[in-house]
Amino acid sequence: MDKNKQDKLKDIVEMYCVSKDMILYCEEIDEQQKSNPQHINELKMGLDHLMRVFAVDLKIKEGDDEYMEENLNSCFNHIYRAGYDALDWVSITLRANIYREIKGFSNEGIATVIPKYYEEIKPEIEDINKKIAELRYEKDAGYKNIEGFMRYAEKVNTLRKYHADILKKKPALVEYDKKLNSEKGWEFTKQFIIITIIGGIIVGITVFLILKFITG
Amino acid sequence: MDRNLNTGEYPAGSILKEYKERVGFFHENVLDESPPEFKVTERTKEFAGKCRGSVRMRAGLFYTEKEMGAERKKLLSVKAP
Repeated sequence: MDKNKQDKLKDIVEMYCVSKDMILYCEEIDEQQKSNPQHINELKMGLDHLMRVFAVDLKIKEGDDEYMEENLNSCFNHIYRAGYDALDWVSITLRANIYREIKGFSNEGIATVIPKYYEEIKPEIEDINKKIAELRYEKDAGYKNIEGFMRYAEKVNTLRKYHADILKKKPALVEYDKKLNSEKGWEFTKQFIIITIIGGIIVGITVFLILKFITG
Repeated sequence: MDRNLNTGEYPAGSILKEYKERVGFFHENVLDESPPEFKVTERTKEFAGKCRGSVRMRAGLFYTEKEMGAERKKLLSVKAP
């Protein structure tokens, strides 16, 4: 195998490592812990092309340089596609997971425990989603768009960091809201007592005045 | 002699030669054939338990194409607090 083909093979192995890492992470964060056979199918298609290359290289099959190059490129494209699809799934899962983690907590609690949430994190998540949507529509796969993959992976990594950060701060968020609710409960009781007393006084005075008016 | 899928001639000791001699049924152009179309449906899950390999796959813990579409919609509909 010449140097050019060896380089392509090296790219395939490296891309496979990246794609596999993303596929494993995708399964790990999935809410239902489910696998995506579609990603595995892309790897399988890549294997098919790789076997054609080795069949020629090991003289099991006849084929020229062009045939080998074509199959090396196709192999890379399938491995890339597997990683890209996993990346895509990871991005929408992480976004949903981040929002699910803090859903139901008070705005005050979120702003206090995660001070950057409203100013920085939320706008950035929305911005990342917009950019990811744009990247998703870049149809080119493989060597032509390796830069697109890298940019996408960087965005997803930012989401990954936000998710980890929010998970770390969640106990404090729970604690804050518990305290807030108990304070609010006491505040409500206090207001109820004051209103009841004032109401009682007003009713008492009214009854007194009515009785005074009737009895002359 | 080189092993050769194009000519159907294989040296002694090769797996392909043994397979061809003993089983007979062999598609010489197998490598250039497109792999079978891969559709993941509810029916796939019925057979998944019989497969070796991934525990998740065996347990039917994987998305069918229909489920994937529904799950994607569900994930994208989660609103930011």
